[in-house]
Amino acid sequence: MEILRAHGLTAAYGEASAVLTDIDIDVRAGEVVALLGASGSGKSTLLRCIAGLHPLTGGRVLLGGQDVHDVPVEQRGIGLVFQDHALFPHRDVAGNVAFGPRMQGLDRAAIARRVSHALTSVGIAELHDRAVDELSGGEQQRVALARALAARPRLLLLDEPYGSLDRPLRERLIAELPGLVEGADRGALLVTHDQQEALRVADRIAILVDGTLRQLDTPERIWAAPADPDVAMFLDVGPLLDAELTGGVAHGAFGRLVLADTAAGATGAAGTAGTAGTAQRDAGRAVRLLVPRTALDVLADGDRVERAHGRTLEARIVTVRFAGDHHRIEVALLDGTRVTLRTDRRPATTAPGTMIVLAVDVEAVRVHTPDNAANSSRP
Amino acid sequence: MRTGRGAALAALPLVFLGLFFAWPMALVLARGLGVDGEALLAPLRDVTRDPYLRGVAWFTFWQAVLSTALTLAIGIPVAGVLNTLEFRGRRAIEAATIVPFVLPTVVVGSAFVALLTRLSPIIDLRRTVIAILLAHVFFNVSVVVRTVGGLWRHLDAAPVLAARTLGASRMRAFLQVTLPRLRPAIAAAAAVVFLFTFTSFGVVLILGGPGRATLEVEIHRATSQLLDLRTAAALSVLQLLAVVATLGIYDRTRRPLAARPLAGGATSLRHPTSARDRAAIAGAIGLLLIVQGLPLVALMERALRVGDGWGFAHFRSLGAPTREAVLSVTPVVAVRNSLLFAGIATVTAMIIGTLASLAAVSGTRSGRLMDGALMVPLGTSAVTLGLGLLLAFRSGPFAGAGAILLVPLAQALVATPFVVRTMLPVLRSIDDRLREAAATLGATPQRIWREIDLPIVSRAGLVAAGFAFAVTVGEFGATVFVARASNPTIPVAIYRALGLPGAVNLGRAMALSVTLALITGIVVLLIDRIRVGSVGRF
Repeated sequence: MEILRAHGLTAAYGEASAVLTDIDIDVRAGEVVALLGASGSGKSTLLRCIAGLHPLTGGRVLLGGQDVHDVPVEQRGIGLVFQDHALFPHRDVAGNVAFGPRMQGLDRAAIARRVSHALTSVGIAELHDRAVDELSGGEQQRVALARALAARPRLLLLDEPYGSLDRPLRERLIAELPGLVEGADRGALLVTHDQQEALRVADRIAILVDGTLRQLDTPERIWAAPADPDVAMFLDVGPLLDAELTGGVAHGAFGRLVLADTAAGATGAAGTAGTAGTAQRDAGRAVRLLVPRTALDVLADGDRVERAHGRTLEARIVTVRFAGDHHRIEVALLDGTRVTLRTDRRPATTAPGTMIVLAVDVEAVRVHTPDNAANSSRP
Repeated sequence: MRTGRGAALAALPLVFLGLFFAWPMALVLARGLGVDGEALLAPLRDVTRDPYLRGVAWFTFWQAVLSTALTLAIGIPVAGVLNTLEFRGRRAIEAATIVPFVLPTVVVGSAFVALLTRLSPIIDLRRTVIAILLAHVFFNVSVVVRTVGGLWRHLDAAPVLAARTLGASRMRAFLQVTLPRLRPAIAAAAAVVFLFTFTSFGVVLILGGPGRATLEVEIHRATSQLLDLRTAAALSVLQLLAVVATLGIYDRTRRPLAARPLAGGATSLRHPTSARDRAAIAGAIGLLLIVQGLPLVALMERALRVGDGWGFAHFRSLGAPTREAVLSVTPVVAVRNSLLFAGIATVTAMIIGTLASLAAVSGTRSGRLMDGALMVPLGTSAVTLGLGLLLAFRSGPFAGAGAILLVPLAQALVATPFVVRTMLPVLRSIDDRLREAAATLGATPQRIWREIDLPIVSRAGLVAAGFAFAVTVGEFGATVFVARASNPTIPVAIYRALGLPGAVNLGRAMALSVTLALITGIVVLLIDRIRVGSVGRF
């Protein structure tokens, strides 16, 4: 079931140009969607628009299928968790959590049940009577979450709720998030700038760059096929190389890489950003190659095919670090681009400055042409 | 619309401050600088050439320096113990250190009169500089303990431990690591204590005696005894310059906090582990008992001692008329006056202060103007203010029967900055996100005002009112200028009773002082109960 759908959502701050342009996003029941983007990309504004705290200049927001254009914030049934929690300083923990149920006009007994249920669900039942300014950051975050949950919102909006917490606590709280929407008739939209956080917690990830939604898909698919170079850069999938593509062969400062063996025939998905197969159609054009780090490895003796077909890149070793069951090798490609890759194959020499050859899984390489760079792939 | 609202809010406070503060102060300046009718700066020149007055200025300065140094010397170690070691009763002691700071100056004066009289058979310190210095330490130790301790408690202990592992002795680590990190707080405390002691009035008036006058005391003497308003005004200008210079120097040396406090309000309090720790705790408590406890005990003792025995005779006598003409009413009347005046002054200060605070947070131009305008009375001494009111309202509606209104008016002026200082941070702290959070939880705009704004503001209002009342009920500097003999307040009555001979008068002064101390203490305790978070913390 669809909890949230936004169509062509556009918003601005004052007279300034649009902060958000033509955003389409949806959240389904039982789902956590992570809204990932750099700071200033418009993530928080999008959340505020959905909550009704920021006016739209265009587009529609539907909650549970109903257009909420004329529904004031207090009637939208949304739970918003703020980055710095925004707990009411003049109320204790229970008073904060009881706020939503009280606004709904529940009787005392029902409010008490809601409060204790919400506090228990986030694991802080014992903090019931504490003053909020005596709590640690993690406890305050849980109170904020309990306060939002106690109002039984259909949609939970979380604005970088873990930003101020230390790493271990953050990991623990993140792990608990899916449990709060699963089974319930509820969805969550989590704003974050941390891709690891997004990958770990989200059923789907929405990537926001400069106020536009570039991609909305499952973590696996986004990782495998970033819609454009901006998305790839943001996810740090691997190096982006400027190249000239002629007949399936890419040339650039990095050297030469054969993407498509004309003899083997063209394969690959059609679309705006294609794999090596579609590269043939872009013959003689300036492109950017996205080479996922996972598509690179140290060339071994057995990799005859790669060598024979020019599916290799030359690189200079910067550092080699032993990491137990693998090595982490930082190399500089011929154009100076630095890449850190994980490999089971220890190079023969590990001295910095040594030239090595990398085998490239060209099937995984994505070709981005300038005119498709800004396009997003939509579900 | 916003602009209109800000201007409307600011209008009343600006008129009030203009009429009862700016105009009187302008008259003091005009008189002191010789703008009205004589050679420019002539009064100032005459004052600076007078050897006696130069002596007063010099005394004012060096006693303030010495008082500040002494207060820091006692306050810093105490702050260290109270904010690094955890022990039973620590919180109670910490709370108790604030008591002397909120006591009215005349009560402190009385307490030291009682103590020094008691000590006189052994060592007679009455009417000495030492008496003044001790009283200043009594008063201001809490400033150092609070300001320096507040930072110290949240200092990360790790750098000190690092220094110790690198071979620094305990003392060395303190001097080279802790002290530099505390410097901003120490500088702030020193500046505040210097200003307080430089402009000290009640304490010096009662304990100093002839030849031991600060500029404040001399302004009062020139006005009330010599009727030399020209000299009084010139001295006020001189003092104002010194205050501004001090603030200027402080502002220049002020640096961003050198120490990063621990995050999340964490403290570095630890339990005592060694004999040295326990000795430090005992030492700090002992020091506080001597410096702050002894004078209060002496005050109580003197108020309860009747002849060779004990009793409440002095308290009972407060209702009886005095034989001496100096105090033409019974002390009970003074108590009634005090409560009445303080009540009127509190209400006035609350109205003016709240409107001014609302204007200041309205974000408009008149609001910003208000913000700046309110800081000026804060830096003005009560005595100068009293002098200004006297100059401004010797004739006119406040000259005859209306003169009685000058007392609460003067007190309201003194209290208004306190109200603003309490209300403004609270009003500023009501983050828009609190309102947004309430809205997402289902609160309508009216409900948000009722559930969020009102409770927070009204609590701050109660705290502010408590502050205003505590300040006004003990206000002495401005009140003593404008109070008539027929309507004294408690502090004025105490001051007058202390000036009368005889054990009965002294006993009455002490009983009145205890009464005033109790009133102030109760109000302050109530404030402490109702304040929210750090709002209204001293």
